Amino acid sequence: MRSKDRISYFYDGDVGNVYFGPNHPMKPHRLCMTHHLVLSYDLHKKMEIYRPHKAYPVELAQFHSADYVEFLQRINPDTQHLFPEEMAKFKLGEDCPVFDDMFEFCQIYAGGTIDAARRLNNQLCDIAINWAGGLHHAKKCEASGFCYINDLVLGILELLKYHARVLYIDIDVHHGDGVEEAFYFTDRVMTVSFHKYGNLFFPGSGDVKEIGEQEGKFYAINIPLKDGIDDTSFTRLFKTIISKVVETYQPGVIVLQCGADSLAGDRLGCFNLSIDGHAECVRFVKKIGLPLLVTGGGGYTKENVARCWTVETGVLLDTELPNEIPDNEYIKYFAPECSLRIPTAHIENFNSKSYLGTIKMQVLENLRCIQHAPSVQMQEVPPDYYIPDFDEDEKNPDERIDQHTQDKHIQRDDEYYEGDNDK
Amino acid sequence: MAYDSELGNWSDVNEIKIPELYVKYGDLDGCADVNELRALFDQVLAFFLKEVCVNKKVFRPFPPKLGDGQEADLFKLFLTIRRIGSYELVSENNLWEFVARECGLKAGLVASLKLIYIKYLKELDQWLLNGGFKDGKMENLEVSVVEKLDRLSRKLGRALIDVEIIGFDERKEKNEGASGFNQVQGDDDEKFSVGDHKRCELSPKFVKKVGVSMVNDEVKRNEIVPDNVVMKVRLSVIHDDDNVVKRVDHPMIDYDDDDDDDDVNNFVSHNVNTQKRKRDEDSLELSEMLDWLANVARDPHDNAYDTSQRSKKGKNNTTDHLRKRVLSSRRALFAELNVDSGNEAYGSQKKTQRMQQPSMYEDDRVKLRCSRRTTAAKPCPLKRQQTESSNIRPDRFREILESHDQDYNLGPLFQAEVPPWTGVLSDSDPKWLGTQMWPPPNNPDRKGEEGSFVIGLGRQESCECVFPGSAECVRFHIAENRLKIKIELGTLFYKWKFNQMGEEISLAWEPEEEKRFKSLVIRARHELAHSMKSRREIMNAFWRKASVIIPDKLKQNVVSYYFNVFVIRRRSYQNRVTPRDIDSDNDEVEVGSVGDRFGYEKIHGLSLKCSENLQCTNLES
Repeated sequence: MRSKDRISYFYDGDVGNVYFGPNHPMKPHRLCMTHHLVLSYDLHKKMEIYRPHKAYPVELAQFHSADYVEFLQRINPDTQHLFPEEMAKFKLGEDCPVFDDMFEFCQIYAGGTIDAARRLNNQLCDIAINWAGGLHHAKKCEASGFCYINDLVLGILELLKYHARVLYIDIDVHHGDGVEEAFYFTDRVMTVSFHKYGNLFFPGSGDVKEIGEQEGKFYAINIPLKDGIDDTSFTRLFKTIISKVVETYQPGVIVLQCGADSLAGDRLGCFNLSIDGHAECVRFVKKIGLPLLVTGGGGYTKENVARCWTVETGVLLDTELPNEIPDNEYIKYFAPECSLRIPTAHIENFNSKSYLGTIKMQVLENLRCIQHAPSVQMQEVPPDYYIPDFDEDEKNPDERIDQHTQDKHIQRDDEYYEGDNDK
Repeated sequence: MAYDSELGNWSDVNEIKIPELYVKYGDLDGCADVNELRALFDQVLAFFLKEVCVNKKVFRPFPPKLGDGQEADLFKLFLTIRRIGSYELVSENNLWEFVARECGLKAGLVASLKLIYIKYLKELDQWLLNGGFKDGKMENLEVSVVEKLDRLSRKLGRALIDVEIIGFDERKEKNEGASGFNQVQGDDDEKFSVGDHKRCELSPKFVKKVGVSMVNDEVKRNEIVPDNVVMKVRLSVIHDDDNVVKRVDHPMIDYDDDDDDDDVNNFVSHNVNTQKRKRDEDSLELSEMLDWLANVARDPHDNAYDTSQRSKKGKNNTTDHLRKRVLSSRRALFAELNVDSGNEAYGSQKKTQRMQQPSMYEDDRVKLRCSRRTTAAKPCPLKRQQTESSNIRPDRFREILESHDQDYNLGPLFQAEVPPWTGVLSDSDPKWLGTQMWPPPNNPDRKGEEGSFVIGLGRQESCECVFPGSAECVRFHIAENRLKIKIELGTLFYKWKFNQMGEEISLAWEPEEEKRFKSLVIRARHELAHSMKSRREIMNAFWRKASVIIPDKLKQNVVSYYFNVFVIRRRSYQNRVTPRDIDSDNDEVEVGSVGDRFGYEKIHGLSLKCSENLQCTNLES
């Protein structure tokens, strides 16, 4: 089977060597490991890899407040003690410490998601991947939960320039509160978040009753779950709800946040998903066939994050990956089994059938309100010909290549040997 | 600071309604030691249960679950019971419901809570009381555990006192803005005053009586002199000067108003009085409302409660007011029950409330991985500290009595500006689309020239090495793959920093430098665990020292070394020595390493030596 989708994958070599501080669970080094593993499986041959531009402060300020961005830009570990008021105001210092090159780090991951959105907008690819992005907690004027800049909101704002409706799906174990809050009052973005809720689990929001307000009423969907949810119940719920959402909402593009902390054995998470279960959600969303922006997110057991996102890169490329991890620099992280699949834990699933049923009914009922609310006009997605066709001659050859060249580059499944490409 | 002002707001709403709740917060979150204490408690408990299981051949599943499936917070339960006194005392005084509440649980879980206490903690409690290790059964205890136990008992005592100090201080500070509270202080005709600067001297005696607040309710209702009720609450823990806790089993304190000699009793009385006053004022409305409701229920036809006659008596204005309150309470209570939202017991969490919980950065120093995952989260804004404390029941009545007009952060400070959809495509800057790195844009045919290789292959199952699967074989294949990627990527290899990946970068480090780095890390870890310095100070000191004693390496080299060599070595050690306990993400575990440094034998022509393993003390079978 041939992969028809054009995949753009974003990576910057500088993103991994960032240190949040001792025993801080967020370790961007996982991005290095992911990229390394992706290349170990030769997945790069089937996609295009881009280095994102570093988002300019003015781009970040499209969502964030200018003073917050400005502060992020000028603060550093040596000067932070001089600004206790701002540090507190912007909620820096605890979960979100100030570290070296922090702003550059933000620029890179935000730039990745923005670029990815632009490539989708310009129809230069069908699926864009930025594992460095997906920092869904950041608020307009403050940092939260290891997130400084909300790249997802910036990406979605970019997508809104070309699409009437954007669907945001979040399978991080934490509630995607930053994105939900940013679009709480609009019907142009529907946010759907599957997350652990209860016992004051961070960030504490995401009740099923939080559904959006004003014009955005019914356009925020929360699926609160309890500890230990397994593959079967999660994927079933996910598929039911997402297919109904897509049918009802008819988005023009989907943004999928693939936080890997919903995997079993995560350092902060409490779900019991296997990598296959997690990846099944990605596969399902891909099959919908809409333009797709995939980002990373949480994930605090490094090696499992690398495994998961590698498998999901494979899924997006329609490539099944063999279980044995090829020898590579980081093989010791995957020892002793050195395999891709991780065992799920033997923990109880606290999500009873009836509980999940109640949640599902509630969500579907809210969805029906969209169909029946007379005040909400569903606007048609503009036909493709509205989108300006770029003149091939005007293009910068460094940035884009024409379809012919692309076809040549994208590896096919049925061609086993690279030598065959030469014809 | 925003931190303080937040607390201020929070206390405004929370404190006034139900003061004792504050103490509960204070005791868990305000005390820096609590998490350490919790860790210690966990250790002792684990050990104890193991012993008990072996000796008595009974099975105690861990962690224990309550009736509704949630896990019981044994530490909190233990502490609560200790503060009241003992198991018997709790049962005698029917305080189980209170204990459940204190643990943030529903009243319906009382039975299972009690059961868990009997099964898991009662014996431990007695064991600790008897001095633990002197007990004949436990002769074979390891010294370390005995020490831990000692520390635990001491800390338990200290915590009780610390908690009160903190709780009280904070409460005082926070309430400076709350007029109601100040007024209470002013009215207090006892010599004891909260605002008194002698507060600190008094504070060791602030052994707050659990149950007092509850008792106060009864007091009010039954019109009993409060002191008679207080008698029931035994003073269970007394703290003496050298910080060693003794448990004094007071007989019931026969308290008499005139008996002013007994410091403790005196204190209790003060405390009760102030408590009572506060409550009288603060929760007047609540209790009034409940009383009114009870009366109406008893005698629904009583004219006094008939709203149609409200004009007859001036007093009926209050009645009308109360009636409205009851109705709004009912609405709020039932609204919450309508949807099963996964948080039945706790009501809905409102954003405003969520962000207002103080938290201690130090908390996660002592975090245990297992407890992190299993126990409940703290209502704190910190993502990384999800676990230590137990379920704290948010103040339901606050939500009921406060009219919250807005649940969500609304306004230009929070939402993104989303322009309405016009159908016209606005400009999506085509200039920044990322720079193409792969396939190499300037040499598009390059990859076709390379040798044949199957895509998406896993590890080769067989190879032609002399000893397939040996360390050398693996090392060879890693190098082989590295070379292959290097050739394939060309300059990209460096742009993607592949040259800075893997243990190979340790070759650029002198053995002496590596040793220094390791000692630095160990030292920093030790400081993190034991000193009171802030994380930032420790880390600044760490980097300062690193730049002095490893002058040749830039900060980024050090970080890179840490992830690519240091952590991998630790992981490699875990893989081989403790395969059941692998965690490469916990920076604070001991560093073990086996074998020599990377490439050592190649450079020096030596074969891998079998060296004595100095790190591991608990080699498991």
